Amino acid sequence: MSADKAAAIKKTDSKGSSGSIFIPAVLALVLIVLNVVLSIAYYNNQDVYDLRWVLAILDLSIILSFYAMAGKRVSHLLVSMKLALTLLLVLAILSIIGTILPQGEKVINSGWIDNPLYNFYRHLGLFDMYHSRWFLALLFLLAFNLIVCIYNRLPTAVKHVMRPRIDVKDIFITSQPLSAEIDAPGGNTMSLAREVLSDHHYRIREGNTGSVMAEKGRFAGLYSLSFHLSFLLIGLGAIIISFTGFEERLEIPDGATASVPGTELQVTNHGFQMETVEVRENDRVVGYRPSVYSSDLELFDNGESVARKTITVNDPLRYGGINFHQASYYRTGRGYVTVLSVNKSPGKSLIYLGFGAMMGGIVLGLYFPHRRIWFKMGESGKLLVGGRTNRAKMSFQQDFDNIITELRSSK
Amino acid sequence: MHLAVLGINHKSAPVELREKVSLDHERCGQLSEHLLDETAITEVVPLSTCNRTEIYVVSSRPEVGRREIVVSLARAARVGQSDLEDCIYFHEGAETVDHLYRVVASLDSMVMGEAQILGQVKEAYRTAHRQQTTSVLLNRLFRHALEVGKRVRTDTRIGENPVSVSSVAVDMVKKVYDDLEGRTAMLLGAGTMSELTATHLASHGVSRFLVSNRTLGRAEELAEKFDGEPVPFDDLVTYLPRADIVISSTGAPHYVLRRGEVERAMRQRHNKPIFFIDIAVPRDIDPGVNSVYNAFLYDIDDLNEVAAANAAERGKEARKAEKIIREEVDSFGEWVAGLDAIPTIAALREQAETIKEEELGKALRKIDSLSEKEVNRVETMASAIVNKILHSPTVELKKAANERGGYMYVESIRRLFGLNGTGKGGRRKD
Amino acid sequence: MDPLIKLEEILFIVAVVSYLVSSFLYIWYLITRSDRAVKLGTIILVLGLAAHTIALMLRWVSSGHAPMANLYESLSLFGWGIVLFFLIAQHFYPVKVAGSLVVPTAFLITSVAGVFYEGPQPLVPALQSYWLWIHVTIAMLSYGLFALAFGAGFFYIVQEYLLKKQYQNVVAAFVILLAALGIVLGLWAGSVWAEPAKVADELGRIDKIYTGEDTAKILGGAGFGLLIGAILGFVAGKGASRPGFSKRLPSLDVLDEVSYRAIAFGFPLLTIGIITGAIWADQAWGRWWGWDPKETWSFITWLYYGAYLHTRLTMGWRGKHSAILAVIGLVAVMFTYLGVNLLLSGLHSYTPT
Repeated sequence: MSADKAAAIKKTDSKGSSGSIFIPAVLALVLIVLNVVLSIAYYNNQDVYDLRWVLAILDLSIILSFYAMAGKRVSHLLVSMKLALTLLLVLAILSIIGTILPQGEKVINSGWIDNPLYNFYRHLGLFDMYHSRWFLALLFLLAFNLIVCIYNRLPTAVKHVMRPRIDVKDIFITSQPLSAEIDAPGGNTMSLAREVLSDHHYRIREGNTGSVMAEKGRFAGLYSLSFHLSFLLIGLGAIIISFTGFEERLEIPDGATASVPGTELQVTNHGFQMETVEVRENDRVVGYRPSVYSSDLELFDNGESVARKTITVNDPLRYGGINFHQASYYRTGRGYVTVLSVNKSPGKSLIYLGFGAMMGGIVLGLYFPHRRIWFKMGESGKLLVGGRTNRAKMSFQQDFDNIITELRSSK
Repeated sequence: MHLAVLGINHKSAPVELREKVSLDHERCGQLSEHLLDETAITEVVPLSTCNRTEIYVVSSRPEVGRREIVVSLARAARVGQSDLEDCIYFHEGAETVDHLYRVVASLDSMVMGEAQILGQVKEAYRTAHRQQTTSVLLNRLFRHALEVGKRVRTDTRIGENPVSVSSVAVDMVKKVYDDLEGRTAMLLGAGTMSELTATHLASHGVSRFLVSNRTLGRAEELAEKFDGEPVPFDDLVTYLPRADIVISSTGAPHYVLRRGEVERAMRQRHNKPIFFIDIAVPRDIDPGVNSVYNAFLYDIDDLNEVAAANAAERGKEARKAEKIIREEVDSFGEWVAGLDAIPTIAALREQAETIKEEELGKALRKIDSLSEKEVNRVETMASAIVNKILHSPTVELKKAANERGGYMYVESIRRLFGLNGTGKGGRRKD
Repeated sequence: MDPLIKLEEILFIVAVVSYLVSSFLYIWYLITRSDRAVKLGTIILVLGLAAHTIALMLRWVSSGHAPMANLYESLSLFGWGIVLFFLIAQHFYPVKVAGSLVVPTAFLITSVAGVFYEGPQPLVPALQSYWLWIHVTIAMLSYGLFALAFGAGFFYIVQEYLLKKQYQNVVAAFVILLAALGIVLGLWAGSVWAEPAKVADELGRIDKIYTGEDTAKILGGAGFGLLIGAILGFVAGKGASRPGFSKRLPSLDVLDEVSYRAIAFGFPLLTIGIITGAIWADQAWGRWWGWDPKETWSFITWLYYGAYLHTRLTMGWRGKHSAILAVIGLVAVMFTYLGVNLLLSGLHSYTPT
């Protein structure tokens, strides 16, 4: 964007928003009141309702309405790269704090619990950083920022692929990073060039004004889109899991049976097995630690046996979207108690789809450079050839040189 | 066989004389012919560059060398013999070898470490070889010298650090831009220094030149020379964002480029670096430019400082080169000794034999009362004396032939026994 | 003791000593440009690598799994990888000068590995999966690339100060780098000295308990490291502060490009590393993400380098600013790789001591 343009935008910006400061102010007030009411409700009944999501969105809306009140356009903020970078850094800093302070249950055994301000810190979310409303709010904002950016770029990216620039002027071709002019005495130079380029596996696209574009790896430009879309898929998957999935810890002594809460399933532990190895220090055995442990499980659905499997840490029992993982064990006076982690994650396929899109983006970006070569008969009567690539410049240069040599020699 | 060199160079003679004595191919050839035909010299290689003219010769007699060469050179260069006499240097024997090696290693050059001298020596030798003015000794000497030159260049870094301001400037630019191919340079002011630097840049691949000068005519002239684009002087700030390198040498009494202007240009070119070379005095470019992000400014003092540091670096490398040369001079000496020991022994024996025969003849003619048996006895005794006296020198010479520095023994023997005058003058025949 | 283990130990020590000797020769080469030094340095480095390779193979045989299961194995493998890549690079490109930084780094990493030496042991249950070598190899490759970006970035900064004739900043850069390294090494030496009480739960997860005296020892170590590092940095910086030194370093263009490219390749690798870790975690524990310290720190590192790439690709940053980012980035990387295991507790710290 040129400096003039930016200044012009700023001008209309301040003009357009100065009149409408009233609306965001009212909005902010309403949101704040709502926020306070809900916060009180949430902190008094934390175990009953989980309102963090709502609160996170409210927090976010309040910040944005203040931003609007300051006379700036929210839409400009949301597309800005600076916002994205700031969010990345703030998230990183919050994450660092989260790794330093005890999180979740660990806080109970730490000295923090005796701190007079413990409850205040807890409400700030310091001891459950990654699930706190602030963290969630920032994630939402980042997602929103991402969506707006993708929305803004999608049309151009798609247009780039579907309707690329083919009709170009002479100067466009000669000012490409790589360009050449070839004497063309015969009348068939253009068709020769088409042939040579298709031999090099370029896709030929004809223009309307006599210029031709040959390209390779035309979807490569979508790598960034694919990469960024994958975050949305993963995020969506995570949201679905947190709303519809569950994770339970089941502790089952040998031979006992336990029900999986919220389902008709029951699981029986037919026996916990463990192998140990010696822990040596200077050739002396100082202790033992587990090398393998497993539980022989049988699963009943409505009282009917549906599955039986010996599970180990890396090998769970899966049934109807519910997984039984070997999480841990402990010993009591009467023998071992196996600890299972039972979970259902309905959004997992979305997450895996996201992983796929991410890998796809990486592979596209790393291994499929987008190469384009334009050619046309120039006004000087010579064949003009010019090309560019988005990456791997060296190998493109080689490719380009080969093509030019072939064109020159096969007249 | 007597090796010598006579020459003048930038240390021994003023430039006016060097200019005159600098000989072209043809005159070199004539000089060689003259020396070979008229004197006891058997091999010649003339070497003539703009900074030095040297005549390498192999003579059959030691005294012949100097005077005759001076005369011939004075005639060939059309200068007075006495003018020349004051400005020449003359080396003989092993010193000749040392001198040539120093020359070819560019230790004796005006700019120590320059690369051209190796090519010039090669050319001089080739020409001489083609004209058949060389033989065993000079062939061997020059081939060896060229190898020494190469070895010095590969084993030391004597040629790596430029010491002239314009090449230092290019060297520094290349520490910002690895590849100058396709870069754009802007010349402010069209002085000779900026032209020289621009020529250097062009030879490293800089392809676009923007030329700006107070008088547009000179700018256009220079622009044409570099296939560049003249830029109106008042408008240079508009063109600044396009420049990767700026060379400034205007005569302006105040700054031509200020920090603010450079900052603006930098924003426009998205922080791509600009390298400013300010060779004007007083300076053209605001020193504050150096602190602009990705702007690098070198004025003439900075460049001189780097040049001095480089020169010091070259001095260190020169010491390594000297060591190599010492080794190589010795190794050449060994070869010469090996070459000379056998003929020297032969000459020594031949001389002794001749003396013995002469003296025996004289003595026997005076005493004729001896019986044949007695004559035989006297002859045997004379031979025994000769053999006994020569035994030790012969053995030592044979040994010395395989020793470092052994050529000194050979030379001593030749001198002590006066063998040089009777040496085989016909070497040129092969 | 098992002779194989004994042999492995000896070969490992041979490797460490070779790297040390080679480091001195490479630094000597930087100072004097003696070709003989660098030739000898290369030969010794190759011999060290050979010994190291055999040591790792012996470890693989005696433990029955790829040598990636504990800090000793992982660091040793990392040092080995650095030396291997460097020797390959040196064979094809003119990067001998970089050896004066790379080889001492490899020595440092390998010798730290030696400090954490443990005999071969079977894998703990959670690590018994083919994901182990996929996940670990990819993650270490990305760390290596970030380290490369760091090196190129650091020399970019030095080279820029040299070219701008800001010699006091050259000294400052060296002092800061070596003082930071000194603090890290001092912290670590201090924590070894302090010997905090360790508490392990039944799964082998370790928690460390630091007393006030322990803390004082650790801080003392850090202070001492800071002092030594700053002095060494001052000496090195003074040595480099002269007009001629810029010639020994590559051009800014090359350093910028190397630093950026290393991150541009390292970031996707880190992404894949995190993805494989998530998939593995999903298989092992039924959850793909659990904000375990290692996970969180890899996420922090990922955010950081993601931000770096955005400043470069969409905001047009280049040069010193990018170089500074690349240098700081290594702090996050080192913390993810080592700091988490040494200082924080979690699923990734398996050290059974």
